[in-house]
Amino acid sequence: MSERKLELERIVVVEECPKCGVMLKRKFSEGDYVGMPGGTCRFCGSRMYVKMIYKEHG
Amino acid sequence: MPLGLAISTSTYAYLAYYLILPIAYIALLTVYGTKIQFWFMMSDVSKALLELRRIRDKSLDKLNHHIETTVNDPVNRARLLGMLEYFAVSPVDLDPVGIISKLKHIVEVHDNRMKTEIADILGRKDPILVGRTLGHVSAAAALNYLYKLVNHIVSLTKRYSSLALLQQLYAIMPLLIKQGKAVLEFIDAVDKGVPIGDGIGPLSVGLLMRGKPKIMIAEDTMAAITTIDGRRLVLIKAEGPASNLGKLDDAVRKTRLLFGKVSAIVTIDAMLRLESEKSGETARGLGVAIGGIGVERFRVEETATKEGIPLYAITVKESYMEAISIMGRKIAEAVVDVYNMLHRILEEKTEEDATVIVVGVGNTLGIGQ
Repeated sequence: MSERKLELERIVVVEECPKCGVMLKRKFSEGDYVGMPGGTCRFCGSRMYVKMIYKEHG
Repeated sequence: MPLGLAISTSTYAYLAYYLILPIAYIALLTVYGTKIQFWFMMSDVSKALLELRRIRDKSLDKLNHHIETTVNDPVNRARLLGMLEYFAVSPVDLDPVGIISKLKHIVEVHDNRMKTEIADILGRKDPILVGRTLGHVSAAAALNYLYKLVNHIVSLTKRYSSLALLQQLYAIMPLLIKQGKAVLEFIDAVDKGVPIGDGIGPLSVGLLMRGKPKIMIAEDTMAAITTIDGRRLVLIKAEGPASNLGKLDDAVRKTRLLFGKVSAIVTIDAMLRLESEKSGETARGLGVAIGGIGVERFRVEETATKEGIPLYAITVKESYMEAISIMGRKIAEAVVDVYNMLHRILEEKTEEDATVIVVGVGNTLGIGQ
């Protein structure tokens, strides 16, 4: 992958709250994987989980 | 005779421009046309070969960097580099009876040998590190072989001045470069432990498995039970989040033995799209959607045929490049469509209280369960 392409693309992690369905997008950090426990939901306080990891442009 | 001279000069010029030069031009092209074509094509192919070498060298640099950070012993480092030339000979197929079991045996021995050798070199059995190293070695070996093969054909072409050989290479060279770049991207994904496009099957099934009790049903393969629309679903996928493909055929056979009557087998996999199709589009069909050399597909088909179990497939379309590089947004979001299709299959094709096997096919890198 060229350096320029790497700059334009970023890997994001989507966390979802299993209770209220709220989704949160954050930057990928090493060790993240789909299904792992995430942060705490700001709305209901439940434990979120990583639903998706993908690359997006911009 | 100034006027006569003028007429005579213009006549010669006319002859030169409209008769002699075109004849010379045609004669030149007739004799040297193929030579000129050969030179131009060879120049382009040589440039592409250099690009392929650059891609190969980049993968070797990445492998060397990975070795430097994970292996301390110089002897073991050399052993790991020696695995680039590791190969498997396909079984004799003159008598095709029993070829599938022979193929399965060779593939299993090859995979086990690679994994145990790498674990031995690393001095650790951590599946994530072993999977990452295996990914590095496999990608570098594939690019190394690709470069050597193309270089071999270019050398033959030069030696025998074969335009026919060169034309074939010229036609496929852009595709080979594209494939080489895709393999480089696969190394990036393996390094970071991020899901790749091929992981859409395990992603769909892995999310359904979340929070459910799981068992290891076959080597590197996990299973869980859930209930959807009143049907009992046995979910199967390779064990993640390490880079793994699992033994899906063994898992399906064992599930059949453990759960008795199975009403349907649904496979979810990525499918190579045509240029006119869009990435992330989903399609529904019949049969077993498992790629590769066909061993797993054959064994699942065999089980289903013996028992009369209907086979359904859900596929997500993507290009070869997308399948082996970091998963794109459109592909990841296709999970919603996959679930809608699964609901439709369950409602239309199975009765309530039925047992259905759902298999997530593909590399489960970066996808847990």
